[in-house]
This record gives sequence, C-alpha cells and structure tokens, in this order.
Amino acid sequence: MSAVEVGITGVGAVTPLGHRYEEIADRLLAGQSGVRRIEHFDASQHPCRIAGLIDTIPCPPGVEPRVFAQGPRLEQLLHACCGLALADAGLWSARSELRVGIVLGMGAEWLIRWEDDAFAGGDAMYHPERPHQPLVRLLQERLGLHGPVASVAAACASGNYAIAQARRWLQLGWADVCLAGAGDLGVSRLALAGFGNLRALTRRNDNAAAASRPFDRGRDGFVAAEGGAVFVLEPLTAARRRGARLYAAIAGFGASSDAYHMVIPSPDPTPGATAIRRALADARCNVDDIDYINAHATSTPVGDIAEARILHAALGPEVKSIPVSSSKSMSGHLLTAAAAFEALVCLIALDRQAVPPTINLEDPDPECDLCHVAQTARPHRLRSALSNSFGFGGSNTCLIVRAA
Amino acid sequence: MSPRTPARVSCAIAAADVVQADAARLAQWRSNPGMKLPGGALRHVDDQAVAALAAVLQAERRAGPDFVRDPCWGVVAAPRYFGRAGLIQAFRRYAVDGAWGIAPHLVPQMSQHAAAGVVSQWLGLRGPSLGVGGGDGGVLEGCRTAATLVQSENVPGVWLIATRWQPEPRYDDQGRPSSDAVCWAAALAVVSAPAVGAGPRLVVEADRVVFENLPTDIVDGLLGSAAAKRAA
Repeated sequence: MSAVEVGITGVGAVTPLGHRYEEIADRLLAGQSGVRRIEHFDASQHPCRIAGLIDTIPCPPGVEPRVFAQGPRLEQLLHACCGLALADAGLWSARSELRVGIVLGMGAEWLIRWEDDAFAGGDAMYHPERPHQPLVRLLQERLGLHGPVASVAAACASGNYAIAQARRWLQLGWADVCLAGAGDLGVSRLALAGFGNLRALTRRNDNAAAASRPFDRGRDGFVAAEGGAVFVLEPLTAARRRGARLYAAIAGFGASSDAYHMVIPSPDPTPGATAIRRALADARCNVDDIDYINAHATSTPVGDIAEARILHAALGPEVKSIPVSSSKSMSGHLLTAAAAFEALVCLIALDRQAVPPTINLEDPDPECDLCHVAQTARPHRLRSALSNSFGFGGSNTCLIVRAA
Repeated sequence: MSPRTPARVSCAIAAADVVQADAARLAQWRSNPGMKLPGGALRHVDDQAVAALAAVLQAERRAGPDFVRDPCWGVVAAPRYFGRAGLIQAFRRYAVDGAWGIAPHLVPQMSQHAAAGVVSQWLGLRGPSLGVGGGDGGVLEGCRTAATLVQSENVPGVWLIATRWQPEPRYDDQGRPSSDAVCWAAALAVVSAPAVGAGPRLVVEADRVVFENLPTDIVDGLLGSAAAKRAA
C-alpha cells in the first residue's frame, strides 16, 4: 500500500447539535443535548417518543433553495453535507477540474426512500423497476463531479468504512479528492418501531435530555437520532501545497467482524479488540499515543459493557489513563451516520484541545471501568484520537485521527 | 494539484459460482443452504441473504478440496433492492397494528449490511463485512470495494457477492414473491495476487472493472443486466 498520507480539509454536517462546525463544537463542549420529543409524526403509541432531530436542512451552494426543498429528505441531507464540505475545503469552484470520488455510508437508502414515499401516499416500493438513480450517482450529477463513487453499509460502522475506503482510493490515485461520510434518517415510523420492539431504545420519554446515558448504571437503551457528516479527504501534500485548513490526518483504520450474532455483541472481546489493534498498527502508533477515545457506547445495557471489555482487551491497563467519552449522550445515536459524526467529534477535540463529556453519567457502571470524562468537558492536550464504531451484523471498526 | 498515475488493482478469483432459486427453492435453502444450521437460523433473513449464503457454499464446493475457508476473510455483498419484501409487510402491519406490530428483526435483517452479516456470521468469517450499493450498479461498487480491501495487508481474501431478483417480484399479503421471479446470487472469492497470472482475475481501475478468464455464466450471473455489463 502506498504511503500517501491523507487528511481532512473540509467538513459538512447536519446534526442534532447544529449544522455549522463552530456551533456543533460549542454545543458538544458545553455538554448540551440535542434530544427532544418527536413531532414530525405521531409517535404517541411508540415505546420511545424522543430522538436527536435535525431542523430544516440548510441549502448547499449551487442550488435554488426552492428546488432543493422539494427533493426527498435523504437527498437533501447528503447533498447539503457534500456541498457544504466542498465549500468549507475551498474546493467548490474548482470541483469540476478535479477527480472527486464519493463514498457515502447509507444503511438503508432504498428503505428510507420507500417508507417516506409510502407514508406520503406513493407506491414506489411496489415498483422498483421504475427508473431511479442510486443517491451517490444522483449527487455526483447534482454537484457536477466526476470520479469513482460507492455507497457502503455496515450499520452503525458505515461512516468509518466510507472514510477508510476514500482514503484507499486517494492512496491508489483513483481520485484527487474524495467526499466521505454518512447520513441517516432513522427516526422514521417503521425504524423507530422496529428498534423499540427490539428493546434497543430508551423508554425515558419524560426527560429527553437525560435519556441517553452511556456507561451510567441507569441506562436503558439508546436514543435514535438523524443527521449526517461528510468530509473532504485529500493527500496531505496536496492540501499543504494549496494552503488548505487541515482538520486532521487519517492515521489508521481497522475492521473486523464478530461472526456471532446479527444484533447481540460477541461476549468474546477478541474480534472488537482486533479492529482496534489493526487501527493502531495502521497508524503506526502505540497505546500511549492515544489521547482520547470516542466510544461507540450507545447507552444499551449490553453494548456498553461489551465495549469496555473490548477496550481493556485491546489497550491493556493503559486504558485506565486515556480519557473516554460518548458523544451519543448529547447527540443521540445517529445510526448509519454515527461513525462519521463521531469522527467529527474527534476533529473538534483535536481542534479545541478538549475532551467532550459523557453527559448524564451520574453513577458509572462498575462493569464499564474506564477513564470517564463525565458531565463537563475537560481541557486536554490531544495529538491523536481514536473512535470506535460497532454495528448490527457484528461489524467492528476503529478510526484514528491525528493532528496534521 | 498534480495528478498521480492511478493504480490498477489486480486480484485473483480463487472460487466462483452462481445460484438461482424460485420461492420454493429458497424455502428449502432456509433450512439448509448447503450446510447444517441451527433450527430457524435463517427464519427472519431476507431471501437475497439466503441466496448469498447458498452461493458462497456452492462456490466453495465447486472450488474443490484445495479451497480452505479462512476465518480472516471479509465479505462484501451487493444486494439490489434488499429488504423490500420485509418493508412491504412492515408497512401493512403498521397500518393495522401500529408501532407494536413491527417485527424487531426489521432493521437488523432488512438493512443493506445484512446479507454480508449473515454470510460472515454463519461461515465464521471475522474479516471486514459490509454491504455496498443498493440499486442498479451496486455490483461495480462491490468490485471496487472488494479489490481495495484485499489490497490491505490485513485481509487475505474477500467474498464478493451480488444478489438480485430478476424480474423484480410482486409480493402478496404474506410477503410471498410472484412465481415468475427468480432470485440470483453470484459469489466470487477475491484474493490478493501478483499483477499477472493465469486463471480468473478481477481487475479494477478508478473508472473500469474487468473480469479476465471468468466463465461467461458467472459474469452474467454477477452483472445481470446488459447495462451493468456495458458499465463494467
């Protein structure tokens, strides 16, 4: 594999904590929750009636706001994230002169489209033979880009796979620049009901901001959230040559599968730990080089304990001295977009030299014996941050970003 | 920016096969896709995931005794319009029973990652596991993804699987597909290999995918439509 180093030079995000980088950073470090009561459909009969929600999706450059607002919401979300990321990287006007690849994590692109259409009275799910383009190709057209495209799906780990694949494409010279990230609109009637009946969701409906409580003894399930985050990736040398803002370098990635169960994490921490060790090896760094761990920790009784065991197995006793937090305590669980959003959290931690907190962590579960940053952000010298993302289907991924 | 010369990724194909099944055959595969499974193991799984597992098992058998299953392998699955039957049923149930009528299996078993997850789980494959694509053209995204994964030193091989219904079925109230529909699944064992050599190969560039020395029936099973073949 080529030794081309790849960095992040642009961010586009639409999240329950805001739509601009500075706003998201401020709210994360202030420990603010983006979780509230669901109002865009009648959730009164659902076991969980709260979620991390996005407001009106901002219109990206190059499109009429009126036309943009008429598109399907998933298309709006990812169009906004991609366009805003290109603009943030300073590449909007140069985009047609570059080979721009697109790799997006989308766990259920067609299910989301069909469900939206069906509840609006349409019958698209009965007629897939009608011509309609996959979203990555539609976005390529809308944004006026040319380069390779792919959508990847590994449930909640999708965003890390997307970033890793884009990095490989740049190393192979398949593109000059890549857009990589993920988006999800999983706060829908059917998805919320499915997760609820799986007993994966919290039932703390009365206090939305306190419902997502990773690692806390009182946790009872996750809070679903919607949103997306897309990054501009480019070779570090090219980014430096053009004087781009470098948020971070993509230092390492590792992946594995439990091969155990489609929903329940493996009781054996070895596969999850393997993903972390592979990321460390890829980043050519040691445990003591890691300054912050953004945990996957969704706030489920089983999952948080499983991750604590994985971290101990992968990092050994040193894990007790590395600050750990779960930003899902504030954002909720962005599902397919979780890994991408949490990569953004790591960029913010590096940028602001502070570890975002796990809010609502009032009574730490002794089975999750880690170096928690509870309730309030902690100033900290950071050079490298590690982000775990695990998903249904037994997917384990780990991404390491480093100050560039 | 100074463009670099794009790399050409060339992989060997160590095993390959294609299966096709109507509803009756899929029902048989649910209890035995080609290996013994615990009772009900595939009960809630989408038809295309059942076919994906059957295709990999058949490709392993066709490759003969020299092919040894390696637990470090990854899985890249490119199903087309995955989970549609489950969604149709869920939509109908929601209209009648509300939120409590929705099966807990809907999200984990009907999302795009699930076919790869089922293959990884039941074959004990602990390498990367992911779904790609979702609509037409997903197979080519799968080729690109599989080729770049085997480039990585940590993944000795990847099962690249493409599945689809042809034609797309109509579903009755119980979620049964119409009798004219056939579910196809093609499985390719993609391994890292020197850039040249005899035998079937997958060659991937930024804008091109080429299958070399791969039997026509498998290329047809993999790509399906003439449009997909032109795109490759």
